[in-house]
Amino acid sequence: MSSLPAELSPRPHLIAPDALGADRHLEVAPGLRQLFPERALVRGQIIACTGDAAVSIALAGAAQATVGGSWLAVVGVPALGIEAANEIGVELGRSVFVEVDRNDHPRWTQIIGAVVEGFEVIIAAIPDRIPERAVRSVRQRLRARGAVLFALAPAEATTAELAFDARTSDWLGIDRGAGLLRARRVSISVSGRRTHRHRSLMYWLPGPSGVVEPVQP
Amino acid sequence: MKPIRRLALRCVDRTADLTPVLAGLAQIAPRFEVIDPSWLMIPTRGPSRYFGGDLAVAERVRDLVIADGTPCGIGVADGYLAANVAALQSIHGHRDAPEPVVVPPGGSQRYLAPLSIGRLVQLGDLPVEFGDVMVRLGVLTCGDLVRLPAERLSARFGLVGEQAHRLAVGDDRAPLVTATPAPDRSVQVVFEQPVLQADPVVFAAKRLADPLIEGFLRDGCVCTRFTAMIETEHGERSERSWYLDRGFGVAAVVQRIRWQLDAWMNEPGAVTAGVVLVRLVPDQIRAGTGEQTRLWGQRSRADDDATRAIARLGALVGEAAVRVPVWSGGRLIHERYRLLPATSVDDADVHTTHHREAWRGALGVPSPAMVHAQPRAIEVLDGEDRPIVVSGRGELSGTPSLMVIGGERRRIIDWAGPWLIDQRWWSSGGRRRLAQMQVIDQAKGAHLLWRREQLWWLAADYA
Repeated sequence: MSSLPAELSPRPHLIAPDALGADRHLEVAPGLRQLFPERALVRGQIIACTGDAAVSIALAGAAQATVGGSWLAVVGVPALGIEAANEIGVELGRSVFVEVDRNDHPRWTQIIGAVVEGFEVIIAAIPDRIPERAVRSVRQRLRARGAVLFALAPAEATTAELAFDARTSDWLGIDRGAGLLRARRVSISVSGRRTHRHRSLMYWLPGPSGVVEPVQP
Repeated sequence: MKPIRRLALRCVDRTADLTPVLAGLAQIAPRFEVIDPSWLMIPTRGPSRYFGGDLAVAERVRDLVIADGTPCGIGVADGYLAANVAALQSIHGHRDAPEPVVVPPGGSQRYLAPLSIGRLVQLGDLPVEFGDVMVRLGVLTCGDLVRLPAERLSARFGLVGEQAHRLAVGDDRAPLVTATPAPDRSVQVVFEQPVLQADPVVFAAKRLADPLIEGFLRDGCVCTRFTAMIETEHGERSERSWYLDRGFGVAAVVQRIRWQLDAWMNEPGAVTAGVVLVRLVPDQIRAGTGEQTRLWGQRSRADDDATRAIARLGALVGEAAVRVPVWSGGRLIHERYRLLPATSVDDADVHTTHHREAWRGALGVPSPAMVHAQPRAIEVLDGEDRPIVVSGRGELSGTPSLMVIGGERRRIIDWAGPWLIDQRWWSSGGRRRLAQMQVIDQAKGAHLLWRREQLWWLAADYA
């Protein structure tokens, strides 16, 4: 038998080695697809994440790709919660954390350049007042290598194709001393250079069952 | 390469010790492999020729073991897995007087076909996740697995996929090294003064591991499984076997000892005195394949790219600044994972088997997405701007209404806790108490606070 029968592969990306390289997309978890115009990450693109839930939405967006075999580099976010990443579904066995001085622009650009060579998904804090030239160089490398960058910065800073502004709307689970934080609803405003309009979606990040998915009205 | 035909001898009781029969066994088979004291593997080609067949050898082994009074199962088959499955089947047949199960030469693949993936993972020492993925794909038995193209399994799962396929078709996982009986390579250190801290114990383990691993390399082999035994002055004992497909380097041995210590010391009431003994017993030895020097155990193109990038980044920013998470199992969110230099960690995937487990003292899901390595001192005040304190029984002195972070005042609109935690006794500075509390501020931002040493600390944000 030369290939898997379709009914045996509900998650074909797990087993198809040719998904690496040839495909223009990297997968996102089913619950997240409606946030992305192409229902997946598009290689070469930058996704800007802002708001108090910026880190969580970036992790959620990156998780499925790591399950599918892509490596994740977290650059310049030393406080990123590893347990949270794990819960959201990031494959820690393919995650690497890189420390970098954000204020040293040339150095930062050089390091991102080296990261792009080996990692298909990157979550990075972006230096303040980063020069346009540096952004262009990063973008070129992303396109050449087919990697995706989640930039923890406003869309303008990196001329991102897609931007998520994720703000917590309410928390469930605690009440004046009792309980534990269990779930939260987050309002995600989606905009982009090509979408031309803002969409606002209410998401569980995560929901009571631990899954990131749209809040059903 | 053809799989080696072997006899597997497994005791019903996994803590049994076959040492008393080893001398007798040496009369039947000059070479055998001790997987653990209750489990032996014997290549049968020579003995079978001498005694007139596999069954004849198996019956001699059986008689020897019966005379010793240790209930066992005996199986003979091509390859590691099939021999073991046959031995287990033999156990289930007759507990006291085992009938050896002999799988005919060339028959292992057929014999293994109905074996479930779960058993393959368990008996073949494969990662649990591999089994999970297979089951999700609808691959439920060894028979299903061997119908998948081997090269695709290997492309997606690297060495693990390769091993699984080899095992399922009845091949050996890797060349077997037959050690002549009884070269006991175990090493130990005895502390005259019981040791109360983890670090000196780990250090002592490193000094044991250095010459041990060096010795294996010199002999052209690698140790793929060892048992670490740690004992306290009160006789409490932790014994764990560790397995690493490619073989252990010193760093990997030391890391396992640390995990073992951490897990053991986190177990409530398990350890009541200082450590007096550490013993390392190499259980499984294999011909050196050169693989143990590789950074990662897997080999897809993405893995190779990442490995190269890690090396390049290490050169750019320093190896200490390129780190990977390693599960370490503490009770505080700060202790759950350690970030270790990528170049010092032998395998990135080892910890993944633990990571979905619940743990004591956990704050539940979700965990905070930003965890501050250096928590910041803050103030927590009640409605009348009086500092909130936590009593020894974990009660708040008032209603938390305000938090002041570097001069910025934020209203607290809800909270949970506090919960008291006794930190582990061997951490630097000895025993410490700490209270944790979750709060939500007026902007709906949620935070994890600590009360420690009469101060409040901002430990993490639910970012």
